[in-house]
Amino acid sequence: MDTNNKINNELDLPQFIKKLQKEDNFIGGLYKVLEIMYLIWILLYLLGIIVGVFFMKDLSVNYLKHTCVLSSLIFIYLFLRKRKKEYQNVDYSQTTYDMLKKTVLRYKYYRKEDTLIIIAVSILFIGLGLDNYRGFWHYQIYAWSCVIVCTILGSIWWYFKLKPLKDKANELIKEIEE
Amino acid sequence: MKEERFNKIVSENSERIKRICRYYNDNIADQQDMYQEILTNIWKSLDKFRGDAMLSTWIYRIAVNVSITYASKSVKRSKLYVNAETDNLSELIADDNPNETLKEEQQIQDLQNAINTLSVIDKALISLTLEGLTIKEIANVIGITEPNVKVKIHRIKTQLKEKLKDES
Repeated sequence: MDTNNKINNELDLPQFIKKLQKEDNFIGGLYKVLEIMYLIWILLYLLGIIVGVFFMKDLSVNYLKHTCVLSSLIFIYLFLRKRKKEYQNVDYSQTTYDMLKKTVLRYKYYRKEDTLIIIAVSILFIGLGLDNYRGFWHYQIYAWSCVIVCTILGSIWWYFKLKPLKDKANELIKEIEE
Repeated sequence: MKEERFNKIVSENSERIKRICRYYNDNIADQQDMYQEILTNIWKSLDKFRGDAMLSTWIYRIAVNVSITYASKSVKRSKLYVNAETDNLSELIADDNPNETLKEEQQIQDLQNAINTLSVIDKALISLTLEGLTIKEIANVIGITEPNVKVKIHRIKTQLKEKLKDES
C-alpha cells in the first residue's frame, strides 16, 4: 500500500537507533551529572568536618548538626534519584490497565512516601539551623517560607499540567473496570 | 546485541505497528510520529522483555499504550480510521453472518463515524479485534479477564450495529 511505503521510506533505521542511543546517553548523562553533583556536595561537607576537626583542631564541632545534614542529604539524594528513574523510565510494555494505574500513582499530588522527604527536609533544616548565624528559629522561618512558596508554585504546576493527565487516566481505568 | 535484537523485532513486526498507526491517524505525518514513538518505547522496554508474553502481544501492548497516551493528550488524535482495505472489518458488524461484507463506501463511512463515537478504550479493543487477536491475547494486552473482554466486545458490536441501523 502507498501509505505503508511512505512510512517505510521515511524511517532510516540505523539513524533512528543512533538517535535513541543519543537520547539514552542524554538521560544517563543527566543522572551522572546529578549523581556527581550530590556526591561532591556530600564529600565537600564531609571534608569540611574533617578539616575542622583534624587540621584546625576545632573541638566545638557540632556532631548533631553534621549528622542531621549529612544523613538527610544522602536520603534526599537517593529519594530524588529513585523518583527521576521512575518518571524517565515509564514502561509501556505493561498491560494497559497496569500502565494506567501506575500513571495515576505517578501523578498523584501526594504519595505516602512523600512523608519521608518532609521528614528528611525537616531534619536537614534542623541541622542547618543549629549554629546558624540567623539564629535557629529565624532560620526555620526563612527556610520553611521558601518551602511553602515552592510548594504553592509546584501545586499550581501540578494542577494545570499533571492533574488533567491523572484525571484522564482515572477515567480510562473506570472504563476498563466497567 | 540490543541493536541487533531491536532491528530484528522491528523488521518482523513493522507491518503490525504500521497498521496500528494507521488505525489512529489518517495522515502520514501523524502516522510517522506515532510509529517513531512506538519504536522509541520498544527500544526503551526491550531490556524488560523476558518472554513471559508472546512478542506480538508485547508489541501490541506498547502500540496500544502509546496510542492511548496520544489520545489522552490530544482530542484530535483520539479517532480510529478504517477503510475498505482494513482486514476483519466485517467482523465488527457481522456476528451472525461472517460472509457479509462491507463494500459500499457509504457503509464504511457510517461505520467509521460510529466507531469514532466510542470511548478510547473501546477503540483500542476494536483495533485489536481488527488485528485478528484472540480474546485471550486482547485480555493480555489490556490487562483484564477474558470474560470481561468478551462482554465488552459484544457490547461494542451491538452498539455499532444499532448505530448503523439508525444511519440507514
